[in-house]
Amino acid sequence: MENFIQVVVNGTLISGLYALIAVGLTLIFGVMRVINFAHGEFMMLGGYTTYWLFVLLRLDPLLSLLISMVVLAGLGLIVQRCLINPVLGASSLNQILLTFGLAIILQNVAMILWTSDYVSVQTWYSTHSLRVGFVRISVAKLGIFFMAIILMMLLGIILKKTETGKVLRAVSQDPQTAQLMGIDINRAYMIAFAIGTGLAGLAGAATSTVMSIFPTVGVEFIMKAFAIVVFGGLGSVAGACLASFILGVTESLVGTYVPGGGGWAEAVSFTVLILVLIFRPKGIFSS
Amino acid sequence: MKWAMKNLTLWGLVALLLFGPVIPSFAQDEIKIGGIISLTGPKAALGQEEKRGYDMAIDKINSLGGVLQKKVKLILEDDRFNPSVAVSAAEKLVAEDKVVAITGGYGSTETLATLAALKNYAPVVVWQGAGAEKIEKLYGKEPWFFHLHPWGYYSLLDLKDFMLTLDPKPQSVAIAYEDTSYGVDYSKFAKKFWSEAGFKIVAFEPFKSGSFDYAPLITKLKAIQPTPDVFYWVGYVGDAVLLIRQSKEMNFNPRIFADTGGVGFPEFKKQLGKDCNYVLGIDIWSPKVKFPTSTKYPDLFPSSEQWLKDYRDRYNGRDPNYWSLISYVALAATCQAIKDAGTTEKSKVIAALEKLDTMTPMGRLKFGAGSYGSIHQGYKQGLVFQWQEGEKQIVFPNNLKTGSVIYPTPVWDSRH
Amino acid sequence: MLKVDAIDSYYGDSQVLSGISFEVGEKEIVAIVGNNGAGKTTILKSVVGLVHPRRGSILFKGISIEHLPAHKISEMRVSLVPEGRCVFPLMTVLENLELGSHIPSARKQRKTNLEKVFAYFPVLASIKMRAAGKLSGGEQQMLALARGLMSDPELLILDEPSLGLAPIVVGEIFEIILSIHRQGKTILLVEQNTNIALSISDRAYVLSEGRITMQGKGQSLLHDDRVRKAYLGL
Repeated sequence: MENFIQVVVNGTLISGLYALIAVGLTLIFGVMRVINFAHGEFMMLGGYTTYWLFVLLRLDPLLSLLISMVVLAGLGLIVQRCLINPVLGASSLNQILLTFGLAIILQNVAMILWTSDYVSVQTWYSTHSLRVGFVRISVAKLGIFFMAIILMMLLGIILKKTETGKVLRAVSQDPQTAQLMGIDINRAYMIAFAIGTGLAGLAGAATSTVMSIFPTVGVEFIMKAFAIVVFGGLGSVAGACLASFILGVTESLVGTYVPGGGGWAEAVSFTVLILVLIFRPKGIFSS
Repeated sequence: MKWAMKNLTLWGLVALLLFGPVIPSFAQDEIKIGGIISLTGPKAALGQEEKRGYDMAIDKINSLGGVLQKKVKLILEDDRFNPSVAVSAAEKLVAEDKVVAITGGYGSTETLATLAALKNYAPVVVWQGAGAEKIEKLYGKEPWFFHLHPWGYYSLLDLKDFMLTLDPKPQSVAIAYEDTSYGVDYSKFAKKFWSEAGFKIVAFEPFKSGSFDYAPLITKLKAIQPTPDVFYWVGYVGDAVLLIRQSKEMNFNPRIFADTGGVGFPEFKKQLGKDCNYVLGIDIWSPKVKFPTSTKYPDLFPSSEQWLKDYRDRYNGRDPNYWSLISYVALAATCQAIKDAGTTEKSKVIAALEKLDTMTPMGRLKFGAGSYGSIHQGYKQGLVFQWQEGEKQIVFPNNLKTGSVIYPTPVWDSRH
Repeated sequence: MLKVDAIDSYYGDSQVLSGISFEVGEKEIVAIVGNNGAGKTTILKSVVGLVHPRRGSILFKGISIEHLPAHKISEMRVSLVPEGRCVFPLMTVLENLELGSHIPSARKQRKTNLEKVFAYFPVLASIKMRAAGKLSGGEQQMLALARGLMSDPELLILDEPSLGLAPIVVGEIFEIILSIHRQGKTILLVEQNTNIALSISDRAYVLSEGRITMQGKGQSLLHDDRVRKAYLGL
């Protein structure tokens, strides 16, 4: 029983990170109908931003988290304007090739600039853990988890209550009619892309404190993020949050209780992806 | 007529292109040796390190008057860490360049492909890379194949011997391994050798390298009662970093943390800071371990300190990785064997290599039998090290150690 | 108010409209009628900037708008209520209406406009928190109309408001359209339901295969034999 609680806690904590990545991806898809294969690379760049701010300016990740988010949102804006926008009208194959190519370019640029060595940010809270009874809770991961929850709630409020949020939802539901409302959809695309890459940057920054950053770190995450996005229903922010949680805990349970589970845990996301695509292509939470 | 003329010129050109590269090989004023390494691609950093060793060796040999009164020329081929590229590089070296011997290697996959291609030609191969025992089983008996790098399982024998010296003797071992051939191979041997030596294997868990959450694995190991005395894993440096971090988070306290891969890299320390302390690993070579100058070939194989100084002087104070040294030795030993043989004739060169017995900056080199049937294995001994105060101290074997092991590993909560 | 002069519009490479010209005067209600596929919707899309004509000009209050993006034209208070309603299905009735007043000039008036449209459509006030996708066809059409009015448009454009509705609901909708017109709104109406369109419009154009074939007063076209034969099935 003690072990079981620990396992669920582990899974829950990791799901916050999953949500940060997956929600950005699903938002971009929902609004723009573009699958951003370079999403993991934005995360990687966010990690390096935090890392270099730490190494060069001794800036604590708690502060540089926000800088990384802003930097990556800005980079997202540029990428959206210069690269994604021109192919928005093109076939989805072109869009996939573009974002996929971008991912590979970013990986290679990172490899050239920073080599393929693993880097991470060492702070007192990186490996510090709280003891709650018999359960150990990593301080950094707990922080990331709460940050993710707060951000998701904030994003929920923005989408629900603000004019910009309503604009984003309108564009995702019916871009043509949205234009008839006087909505500048290019602006909406830019906002969605910037929010998405900003969240990815934040996820990368968080990752650099509890794990490692390297040029292909995004590849590891993006596959799970896709599974989560499909699982939660393409474009659904709430679905992605719930799917992150379910996936995180399931992986943790499988990893701990299935014999030889270390390999199986990684397969959970793919199994989920395949099953959902076969049986519930609109995601499990769709009505 | 005009057409025929044109055609003739065309044929001439084709002939030139086809046979052109062959022409210089008629002029045998140099001895050619091939080298196949990853100069570009994902493992370029290591390939470049190998090249630095080669460059040092070739300059040294030629400054000592070359071989058989001829200059030695190294023909470098880039395998891009890609088996199919490696195969065509090997074929080019044999068929086109007609090299006397081939050196090279890093990863086991390209090595397997390269050797399969070379088997038909059976040139002299002095290979410094690859440690998979599969290579030993497949090619170890080939008379033309000489292998320098210790086979992977040697490090598990070293670790076993080391663990037997500990007091109190550890009883139980938890093994975790990344689930591709690298981890599967090593863990298989760990299980075999260590259970034969009387250690109880209480966990044998695969994991996926590059995962970003090892908490389930650690939770599982932590649940084993009593806590395993030894936690040994096989993985890459990122895995090692995360496993240690999460062991700390979860307060998992075996008496020994040991790995045969990632923990040896400087990044391991860089990322973990003082949390890297007490972790054990295996190195093939350490600048701290001193070997004397070769008595037979003092110029070619200086003392390890002298070699280190030469390297640093040549590369602006840079610290070498053992890959440059082992590449240096591979090329230098090959050239010395040709010299000793007095000819480039294959059987004589092989005989000379078999006779070679010398001290090198990496320790004594004498090709002998390996445990799984190979007949030309160069180095065997590894060095068990422990991270202490952010430095690697050699703690085993006793004749080479630079420090004493700290055992058992202090529990996480008591560290500051 | 709106002057369309000889526009040619294309979808990809196929020409849908050729040399279309028509006008809508201040406070007029003008209908464009014609069969399915005649190009009626394309005319409207050209006017609001969802399709850009390759040739010809469109003037709104003397300003040429044929090259402007759709949202810019909306900001000039030209409001299209699209065919098939196109409400935002996952948003509430209220949110749909709020988006109807997204343009800066209308956003300031959101509250008063909301009261106005609830006066036209009291039923919407009672279901304002319901998801638009869950409404009946008639309710959705009312919502689409109400949303179109939320920007307080100078020109209200209606694309097939009767489509897919029960006859009794059609009557209700057109009652409302007429009362909106009586309040002084200029309306451009496209309808397949020729009878009802011609009977309420001041002037009308008949569209066939991408060209305007007839034009005149609504009532006189309604009694024209050719129209009666071709479009009213009489």
